[in-house]
Amino acid sequence: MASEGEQTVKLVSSDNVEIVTERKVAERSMLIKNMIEDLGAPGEEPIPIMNVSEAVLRKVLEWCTHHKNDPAPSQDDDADSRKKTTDIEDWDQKFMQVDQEMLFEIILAANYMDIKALLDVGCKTVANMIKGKSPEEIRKTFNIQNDFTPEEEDQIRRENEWAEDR
Amino acid sequence: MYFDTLPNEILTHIFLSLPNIASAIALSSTCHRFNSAYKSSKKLVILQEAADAEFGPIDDIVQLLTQNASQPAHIRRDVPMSEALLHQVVKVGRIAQRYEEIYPFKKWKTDFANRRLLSNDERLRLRRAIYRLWLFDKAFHNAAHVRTCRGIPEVVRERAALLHNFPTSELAEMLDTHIALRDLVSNKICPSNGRIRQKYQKRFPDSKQQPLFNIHLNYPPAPSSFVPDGWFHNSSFGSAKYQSRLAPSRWNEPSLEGWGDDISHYYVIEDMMKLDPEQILYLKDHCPTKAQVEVHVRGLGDWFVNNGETFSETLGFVVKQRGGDAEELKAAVEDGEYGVVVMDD
Repeated sequence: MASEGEQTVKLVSSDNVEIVTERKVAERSMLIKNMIEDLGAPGEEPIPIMNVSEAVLRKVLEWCTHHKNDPAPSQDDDADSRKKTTDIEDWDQKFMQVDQEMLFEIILAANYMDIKALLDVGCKTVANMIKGKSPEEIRKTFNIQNDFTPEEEDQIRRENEWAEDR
Repeated sequence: MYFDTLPNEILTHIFLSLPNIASAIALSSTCHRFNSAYKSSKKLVILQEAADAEFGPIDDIVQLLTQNASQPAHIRRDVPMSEALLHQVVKVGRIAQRYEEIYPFKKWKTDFANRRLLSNDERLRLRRAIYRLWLFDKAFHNAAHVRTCRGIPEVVRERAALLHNFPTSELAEMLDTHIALRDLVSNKICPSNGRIRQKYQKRFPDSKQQPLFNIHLNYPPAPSSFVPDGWFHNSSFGSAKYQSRLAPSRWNEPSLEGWGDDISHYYVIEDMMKLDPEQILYLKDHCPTKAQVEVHVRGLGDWFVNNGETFSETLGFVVKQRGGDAEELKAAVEDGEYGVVVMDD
């Protein structure tokens, strides 16, 4: 039997494409890691990733490959792992230079596949797109419909007065 | 796939990743969907995380805000976040942020070729030092700590206990910040006679006259007869920043703006360093003349005068307890080996 590092696993995307990858790479996803532990014999049984299409899954695996040697996330550092700054590693920053649709797909996939670090990077990328913008600019950036009535907008403004700079 | 079709848990995660309160509020003001995600049970957590990213470490702000005489200052207080507390956090945080702009001018005062903005980590260290110095001011620079009790062993121990909370590297950051504050106080708020003379010469290089400092008598010298008449009519410095301090006029006499020289100035600054960062900023912004500063200080009460700050000596005491030497630490901070900004070379 091959050592754990060289083992491969078969993943199946939502559009039924089979992707073979290193076990170590796939195990960045807690979902897959737990599944492999439950199944016992990796490599034989293909693992369905039901909510993720091929294009997104390949992108996610690209991230996992780059980060395969990162220290494994521990279960209880939930609060600390969210770094206080919005700094993103250079490689991750480049990796996240995709269109909005892909960005949100990656975030959703990271959430579904339980890859916390990738979810954080994705959310920080979105946060950086929001930073320093007015509500109107945010709406324009993300194509959001303003569904407030003028009265509601007025009320929200009043609620948030405390946070205005002086 | 649009932003507003993401599930709530992910929206919350994005809210929690935002770098400041303004962004959180802006995002919550875009549409109903985001507004309800924001106003869900997570609102306080979202605002707290945003405040921490913007003004943090929030824990040190909370220690400052919750300090009162009912409890020794050094005991860590754990309080639940509330909206009211958060509003205060923002107020305190904005003051610390102002120092992020001021600090580089003090740190690289003569070495201005190397002056630069602070990095995010340096900003955090500076804010943390500001909150901790401020806590020290609040706890020990107050009417309950009059001149006569500064040396009482029990009081010394109490002051030291607060500084014991921090490792020496963080004490060095406080010292670094304290030096910057002292520079601000001794040059901007209470300039010495020499400093006023220097500024006066810079402003009016053609003037043959010097401001005459009256060091013995208490009545003001004769009105400034040496001012050329023309200055009153075609002066362009009416709007200048130091106008009120340096421009001689019927109401203001530059020679009265100095706070003494050498030893006497030193003791004035020792007293003034009891002011907390908020008061120092207030005086910097709103009290450009000596008379205004004096009125403000008089309003603080009798305990304030002739009662030097105790942070420096407490720091020396604690550093000595740890087997170090306060002078060496100060030299290391000035050389950039320790402090808010650590220089590589």
